[in-house]
Amino acid sequence: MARSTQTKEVTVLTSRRLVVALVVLAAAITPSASAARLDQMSLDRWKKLREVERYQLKIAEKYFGEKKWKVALAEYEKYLTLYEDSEAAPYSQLKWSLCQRELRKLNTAIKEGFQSVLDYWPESPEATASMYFIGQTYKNMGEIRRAKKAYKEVIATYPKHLVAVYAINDLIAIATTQKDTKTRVDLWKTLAFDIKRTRETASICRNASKNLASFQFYSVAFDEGVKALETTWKEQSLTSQVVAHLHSPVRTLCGDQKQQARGLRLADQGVAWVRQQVPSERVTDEQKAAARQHFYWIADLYQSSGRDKKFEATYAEIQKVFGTDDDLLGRLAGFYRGKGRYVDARACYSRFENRINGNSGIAETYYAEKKIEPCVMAYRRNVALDTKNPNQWHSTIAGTYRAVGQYDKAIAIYQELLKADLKNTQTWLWNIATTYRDWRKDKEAIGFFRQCTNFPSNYSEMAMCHRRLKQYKEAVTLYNQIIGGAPGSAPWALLQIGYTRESAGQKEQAIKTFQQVCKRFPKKGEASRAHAHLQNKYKISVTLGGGKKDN
Amino acid sequence: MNQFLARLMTLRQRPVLVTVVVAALWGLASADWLWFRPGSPGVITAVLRWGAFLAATGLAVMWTRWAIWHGSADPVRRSAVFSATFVVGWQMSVFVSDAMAWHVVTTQLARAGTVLLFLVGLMWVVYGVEMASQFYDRLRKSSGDPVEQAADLGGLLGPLTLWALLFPPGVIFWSRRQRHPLRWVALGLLPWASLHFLCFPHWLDQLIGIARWSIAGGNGERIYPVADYLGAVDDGRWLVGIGCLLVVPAAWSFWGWDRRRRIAADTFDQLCGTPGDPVDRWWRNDLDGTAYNWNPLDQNAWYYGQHSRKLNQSVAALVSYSFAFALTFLLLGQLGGCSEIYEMPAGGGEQQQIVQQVKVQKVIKRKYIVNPFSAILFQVPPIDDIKLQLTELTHHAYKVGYGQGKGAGYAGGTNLGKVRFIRLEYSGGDWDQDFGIGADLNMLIEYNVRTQQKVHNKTESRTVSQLNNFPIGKSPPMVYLTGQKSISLSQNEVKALRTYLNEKHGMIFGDNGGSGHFHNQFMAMMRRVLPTIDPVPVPLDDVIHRIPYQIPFLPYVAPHGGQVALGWKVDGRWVCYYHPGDIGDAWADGHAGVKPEIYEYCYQLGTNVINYSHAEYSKWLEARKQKK
Repeated sequence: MARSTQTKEVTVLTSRRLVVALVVLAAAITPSASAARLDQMSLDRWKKLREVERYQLKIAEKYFGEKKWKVALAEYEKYLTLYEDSEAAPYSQLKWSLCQRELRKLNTAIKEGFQSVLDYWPESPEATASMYFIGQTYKNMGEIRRAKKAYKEVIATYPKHLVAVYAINDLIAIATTQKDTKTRVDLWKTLAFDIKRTRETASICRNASKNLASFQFYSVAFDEGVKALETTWKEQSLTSQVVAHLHSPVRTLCGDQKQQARGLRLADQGVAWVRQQVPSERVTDEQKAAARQHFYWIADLYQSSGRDKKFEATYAEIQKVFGTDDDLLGRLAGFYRGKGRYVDARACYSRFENRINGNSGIAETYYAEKKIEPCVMAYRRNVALDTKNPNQWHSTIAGTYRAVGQYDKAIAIYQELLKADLKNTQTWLWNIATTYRDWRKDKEAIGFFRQCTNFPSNYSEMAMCHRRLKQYKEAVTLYNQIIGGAPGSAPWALLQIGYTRESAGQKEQAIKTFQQVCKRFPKKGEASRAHAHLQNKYKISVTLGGGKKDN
Repeated sequence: MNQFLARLMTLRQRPVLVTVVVAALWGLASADWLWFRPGSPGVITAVLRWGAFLAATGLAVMWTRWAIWHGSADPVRRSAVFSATFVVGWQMSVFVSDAMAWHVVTTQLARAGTVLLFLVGLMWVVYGVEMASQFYDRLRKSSGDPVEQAADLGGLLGPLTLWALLFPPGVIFWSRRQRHPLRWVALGLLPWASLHFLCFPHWLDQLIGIARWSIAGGNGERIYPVADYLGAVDDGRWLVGIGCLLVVPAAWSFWGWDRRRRIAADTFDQLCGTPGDPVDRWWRNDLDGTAYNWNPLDQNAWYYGQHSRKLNQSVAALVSYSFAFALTFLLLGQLGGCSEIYEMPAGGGEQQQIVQQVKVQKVIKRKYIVNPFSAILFQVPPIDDIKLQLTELTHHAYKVGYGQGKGAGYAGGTNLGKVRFIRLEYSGGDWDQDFGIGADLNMLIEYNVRTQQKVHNKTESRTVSQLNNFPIGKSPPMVYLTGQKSISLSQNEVKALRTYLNEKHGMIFGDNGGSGHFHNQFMAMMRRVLPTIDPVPVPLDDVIHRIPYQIPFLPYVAPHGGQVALGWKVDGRWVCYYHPGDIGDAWADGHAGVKPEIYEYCYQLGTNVINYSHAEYSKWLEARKQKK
């Protein structure tokens, strides 16, 4: 009895963990409500405006589009003052509120903006949007209780309108933060089953059905999960989605010893369901491919549940029914590689019809085993086979040597490529330079970086090499050239000058340079680093920085 | 006058009596300073404390002079005097540096003194053990039955000292001799734990603070062995579990152990045994009614084994002393701040902006009279060129505070209350960045100047755990947290912060002191403290940015964590305000070289945040009163 209670407790605990994991997962994939269409006016209403009204509104819209919020705000205000009775007055008021929101005056946006639309133009289309924006603004300012109340009002007042869908989606986001699983599930169900799919609502409803399915699968409610996905997908794409959403729960449950039985049950349910979906007609190539894809999915589910023998048996079945090809062998080899069975993987690759791909796979398995020479041999075979792209394989061989620290061999190959492949000279020069840099042969690296044309990257690399050679003056010159030639990299280069001077023992000049970074680029991250460095290293709090957030 | 001098001379003739009295006073004053009423006391208490400490210091100096002059006197006495002088001197130096608000010096002195105190204590332990050991050795040589004598002499002292001091090393030594040490440690510790569970009430552990003792674990987490143990034994089922796990295997293990001991003793006797040796007799279980030697001060006690007894005794003494020192240190440390309260200044005020008043002063320039027929050519200034001099003044149209009351303050405050600036100490980073005079104290002074509210004369710091010491309704409305490195909080500290924010209605004023890393650390900390609340950018038209000063933009020194202030809101109240750009540096002397406009706004923002937290706290206190 005690044991069963304990087991129940363990199950509850694990379920909670799963729910938390699900919540986090769903939070990651839940998109924020896109209310883009709510702040636009229909063409019919634009037509009703007088020429002067249109002119003023266009000016305001231009600045709004350019994100010049302060100017746009003034222009909308001007419109409201001049054409208070116009058709676009509520629209202008709405946009004025949105400008306030962008200027981080959220309280003003609600009280003097959105609420005014509701009070003065309750029948306008903007009133609907305003009601939703009130909720969204409350959410953005952390007033969750008020936001929930506003969203519920939106759903109650305009249940069929797009804003209701947005409101539900935002409520889901709130419930995610508050770890309120029940509310989330209820809202997902509403979105998945009750909301009519339109172009605007489709993506939100699709995500809801996905999240609901994931939740149901984690709860080992297989049929419920499939029902959720059925609201969005049909036939083979439905099977694909079911399998895609099954993998994570099956892997998680089977990975937990206490939940393993549930995980296996879920996987079996999935396999049985996929088997039912396997097309019986296998006449055309498409039908055969579709049927084979179903078997692959079955095998993948076995793999996720950790049943390797069943996985291999399924592949044997596929070979028996459909024959062997590179795709099947590649998948099987991938499985063996994942399990560290490199010999089996190579056996599969050696059966490839496409010898180039087969050799490439073989080389990769050798590389995974740190057997460099056989790996290079395999790539060399491709040089002979692939007469159209021999340089690609030479480059891969050089990359392999470089990755294992055999820089001399890598450089020799790159040098050959430099002579042979004139079209990609810059690529090979850069590769030679970076290989010398990794080899700590800075003088040689500088020579090749100098021949590269990808300013300012080559200059920054050259400067770094000079610093390593303790040629600080040259490094500073190069950084100054970056400051002059690449304004985007100027804060970084100036900060590097500071560090270089510091390495050169020029303490006072280094301090002045760090202070310059703070003064010239107060809003950049480099200013932050310079400020912290001055404080930590030199105990100098006077950094000449300081700024403000402009809007 | 003569009588007084005569009495003083009489006292000089009784140095021991005077020392005892002064030592008692010193002890009381120290306890009052450290534990009963930490922080700044009233004038009378301060005078009394200074009196007691100065008297103790003077006496210590006199004793030291005596010890130096009487160089030929007993070296033990001299050492005792020097040791006592060290303790008094250490305490005095910490007290003085604390009074001068040299926080860093105080901390370093306290740490260095603790280490020295440990070494001084160790020196005495070594001396005591050596003397005792020699004494028992001499006694044994001059006596016919050493075991009997030793048992008699150690009869009273032995068991008590053993269980108080030698328990941990005893278990270690015991287990060291076993094939399965872990099992033996468990078997040794579990009965002790069960005894503790049965005999001592848990509230005692909570009260003395031992439940808060923690040790650092992996990944920056802290382990609370006592608290976890207490939590575990609260569940009655554990008793059954302990019984089953302990009694049956223990019985079998004891039986097996005794059997092995007999066999070992027989083998030992055959090879190199000396039948007269009491230890050898004990190992052979052949004492025939003779008492075991339990005295830990005698190296011939049975539990020191048969080999390297002196070494075992020394190691046992070192381990026991370290254990006792650490335990005492922890217990005394936990006592600190038990009765600490925070009270806001009484008064009232309106939730209004301070008015920016612009004074216009007309400056009429001199009128030049120019001869139009002059041969000198010069530019004539226009006659009506009058410059207006505009002076912007900050005018207190309202009292800054909240509620109804006399003077600037808070309705929920008290007459003795003051606004204090408390920063949080945490492990892993530099919590004390820009701390004290010339730094955050500037902000507190500015707050006083700008709001006319009473403020404390120095800024303070408390550990996160010490937030537990503040009762509900008397806790600080705001604590300041800054740094540029890591923030490492234990689970209990996270819980303490959560309780502080949610139940004690507190607020954290976070400030990124210098790195993107700290930004991530702060965010991670808040995710742990308030997992169901997401941070949001604090609107510029929020109360916290409007009252008492209108802050039109976010001022910062460097954008370490971005350029937007973030906040965590619970039930319509900001429980955390995070400034991303080192506002503390702008408050400090030199203002980090930022423009006057920026550091002025930094002071204004600091004032707003402090006022907001106190006003919200006052509202909450009033609401609680009304509920009652």
